[in-house]
Amino acid sequence: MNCLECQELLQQKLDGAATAPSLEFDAHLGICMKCRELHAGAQLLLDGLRKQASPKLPVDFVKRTTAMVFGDRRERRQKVRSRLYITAALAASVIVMVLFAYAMLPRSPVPAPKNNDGLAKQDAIKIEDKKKATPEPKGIEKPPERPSAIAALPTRWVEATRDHANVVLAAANFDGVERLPIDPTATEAAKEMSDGVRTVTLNTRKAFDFFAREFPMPDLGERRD
Amino acid sequence: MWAEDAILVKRCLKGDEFAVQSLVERFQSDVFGLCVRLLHHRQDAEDVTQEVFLRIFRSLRRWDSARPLKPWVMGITVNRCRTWISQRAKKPELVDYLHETVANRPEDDSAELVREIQVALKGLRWEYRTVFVMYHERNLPYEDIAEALEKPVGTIKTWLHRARLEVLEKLRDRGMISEVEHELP
Repeated sequence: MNCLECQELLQQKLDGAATAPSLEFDAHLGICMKCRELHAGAQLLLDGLRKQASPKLPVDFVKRTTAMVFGDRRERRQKVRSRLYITAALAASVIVMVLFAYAMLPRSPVPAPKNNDGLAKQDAIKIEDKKKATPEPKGIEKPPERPSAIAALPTRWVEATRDHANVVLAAANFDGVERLPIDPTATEAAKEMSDGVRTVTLNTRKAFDFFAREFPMPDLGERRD
Repeated sequence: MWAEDAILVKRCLKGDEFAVQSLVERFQSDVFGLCVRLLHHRQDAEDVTQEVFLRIFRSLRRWDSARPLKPWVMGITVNRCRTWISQRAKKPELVDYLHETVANRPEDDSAELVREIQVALKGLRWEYRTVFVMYHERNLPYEDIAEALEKPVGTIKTWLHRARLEVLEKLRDRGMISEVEHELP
């Protein structure tokens, strides 16, 4: 038997397994002082661990802990509830702001033509033909053709972007390049649009700042629990 | 046993005060015993034990009822103790953490041996000490320790074997082992 095998027996002994005495083992202990000491120490260690007093908690520990657990549960429930209310209020305010901004968008100066029921069919065709023949003047927004104003919003944005591009190009005074004419309607639309967007951005930012300040992120430091 | 655990947990989640008390009573000595040995400070251990139970009840929904409850509880305890030690390391140390309160010291001749074992344990690596205490003091089997520490059983066995050898060598270096005490297995 060598020291490694002897240590394996030592581990088995510390595991609580019954180890049968063998001549080989006794012979090794007789010649190896280190193993002899380790085996003597193992017995000592087991004795010491057995004699070790188990630490005791105060008598009212269970009561205190139970009260603390229920208190914590109540507090957390309240926190979640108020967080829900704040989130709902925040969402509602954002919706209101978006609707307000939409209402502030520039409206079409020319009302959309409609086929009046009382108008003769031929007259209606004539109007349509006239519309096709004469091109629309530049700078005047095309009225939304769909019944829903929201559905017409992208079209309006495209036109507003085109007008903005006109404004930007007109503002850029390139040498030797002829300046484009400035359309006052487009400039006004651009100004209103940027005002609306600025208001929405500012209010949203304020709302998020408030939310982040009042409800900080939970501590994620713990690995498992 | 696991079915009993599952029923107890279900009752705790429903807000049954008696069930919460039963759960605390069932695990308090294991949790506190482990905390005392890992933190070497009675008051800290008591605070951490309370925190552990708070965390257990907060995350009780996440416990997998297909697994035993005790290793899960012990895993939370080990993690909490580790966090506490890292936080304590940042603060100035005002107390001698080596000594326990007088009330817990054994009063017979073995007092010195017990103290020497504790000193030897304190000098071990965190993982070795944790495994040693869980196995020899809290009587957890290898499988439960592996589950609690999320390590393979082989790793736990290796750590425990090394921990024992280191403790024995420290006891020998401090003159606690003499040839007279040698007993054949």
